[in-house]
Amino acid sequence: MSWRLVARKDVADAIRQYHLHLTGVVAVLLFGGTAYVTSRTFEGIGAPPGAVAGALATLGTFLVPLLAAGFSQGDVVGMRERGDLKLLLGLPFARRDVILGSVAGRTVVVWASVLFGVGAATLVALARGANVAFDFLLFATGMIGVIGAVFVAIAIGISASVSTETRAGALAIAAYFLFVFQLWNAIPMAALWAVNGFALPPSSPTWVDVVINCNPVLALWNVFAAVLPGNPSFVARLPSTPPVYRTVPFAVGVLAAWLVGPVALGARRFDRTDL
Amino acid sequence: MAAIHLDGLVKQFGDVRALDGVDLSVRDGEIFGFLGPNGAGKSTTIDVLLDFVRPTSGTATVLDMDAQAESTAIRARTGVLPEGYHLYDRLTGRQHVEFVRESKDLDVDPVAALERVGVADAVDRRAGGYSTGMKQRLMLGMALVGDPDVLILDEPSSGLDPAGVRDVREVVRDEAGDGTTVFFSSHILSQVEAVCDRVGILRGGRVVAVDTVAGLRDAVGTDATLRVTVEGDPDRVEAGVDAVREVAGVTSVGRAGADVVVRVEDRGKIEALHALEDAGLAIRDFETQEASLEELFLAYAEGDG
Repeated sequence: MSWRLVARKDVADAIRQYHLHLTGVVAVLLFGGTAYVTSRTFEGIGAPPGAVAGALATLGTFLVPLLAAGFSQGDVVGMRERGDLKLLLGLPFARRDVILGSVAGRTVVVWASVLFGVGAATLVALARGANVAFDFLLFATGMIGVIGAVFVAIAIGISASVSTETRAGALAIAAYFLFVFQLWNAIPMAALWAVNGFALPPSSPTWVDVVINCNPVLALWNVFAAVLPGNPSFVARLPSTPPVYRTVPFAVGVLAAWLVGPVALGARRFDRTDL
Repeated sequence: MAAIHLDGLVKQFGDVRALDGVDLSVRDGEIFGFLGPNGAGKSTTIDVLLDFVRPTSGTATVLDMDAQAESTAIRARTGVLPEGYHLYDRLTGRQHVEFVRESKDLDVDPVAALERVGVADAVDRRAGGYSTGMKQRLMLGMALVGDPDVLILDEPSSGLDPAGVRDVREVVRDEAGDGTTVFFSSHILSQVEAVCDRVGILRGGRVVAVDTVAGLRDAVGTDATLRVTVEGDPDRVEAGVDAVREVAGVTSVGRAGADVVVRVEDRGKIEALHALEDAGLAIRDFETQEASLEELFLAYAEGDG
């Protein structure tokens, strides 16, 4: 399939341009560093199971979306501005192939970096005598990969919809802050304020909390909070019977929606524009 | 079968009506040159054929396939050289050809493909280091990969030196010889004249003429210039000039030193010469100059259409 060719080229480009080297080094340093710090308690003994995984999960939530968005936002729009999109589309590739191939290619690069980072972290943790719980570590790595893919999807969706790299970059950074620093919450709150006669009610109705939990990063936190011991997140501890919008299935649905939605919308927009 | 067919093609970009009802048919296997002043809409037309740009109304087909609905299928069988392209700076010439090869599922030797366009010695150099001419040659080489059924070239000679321009001509002739339909836009009139079976002139988003070069000449009726070096008394020269003026088909007569310069249609040339002899002048030498395609083009481009 043609999108595979595009994906392969995308990965090869990331290697040729040393992007992969850069993200790999950053991941190794930061994940490794985190593992170094959290592998021993202050008393000097090895950290309990799940501590390292928890710390890496926290780091991953802040770092990986930034790497993913940062290295993906220029992909499609860069091709367009430079003119090598015309080279590509002079060959038998559909516009859809370009989008899907770019998403796949960038995701591979992000995942490779995460693996390098977590690999380095594991070695460091073991060397420092931490009691590494591999099942939690694997789970955390997998979920970090998922949020990485989500942010690649969001960034490519943006890249496909705008015409200049400057705009793509600005929107990608905005998306990062919107989701990771939960500025997203302002949206339902503003809507509530408007609907309530321009004043905030004493307590917020359920729908506000539902919308708040449709933030993909918050969905990720909810999953971590449910699975990893010791509640490694900045998010409020989960009650024993969490509301629907904080359960794992809901969170997985949110992540899936943010994976598919931006790509579909970006592809549609891209399909309709004149070059 | 028409290799390329445009029917009432209209493209509006906001306020600008770039294409205003283009009707055109390119026959299978012919070399068709697309001429027009800057801004006439040549590149826009090609962009529609390649589905870079979507028409506002009207249809475009290539090899009987709709240029918008079946674009990918079309591009599997066409070789393309668009304007405003950019090569992959970090890939070598060889890697570019290999990429084309993989995308079209072909079996082609990159070195042979590059030899055809004269950049084989740079095959393993990164395209970012190529000169403008080399880049254009590489793009052309990539368009030729796999012997496509149709070649769509937007200003294929741009950036090339005269040797390059000649090479493009040869490549186009070779391809057409194998049955490939070639559709290209150009400003280089001598090249169009040398190689095209038919020429279409686009002006203001509309096709104002389509014919062979000879046909276009006949239709516009542009004159040739006949320059006769004569010998004789000044009175006889005067008489001769007056006599020539009377000849059918003569537009104007003038003097330039010992020469009589006559603007005359083909049919009047011999008569003009006789008229000078009958007036008692000796003809030492004469020279005809055909109306160039440039004059032709200007006549169509700036005439009343």
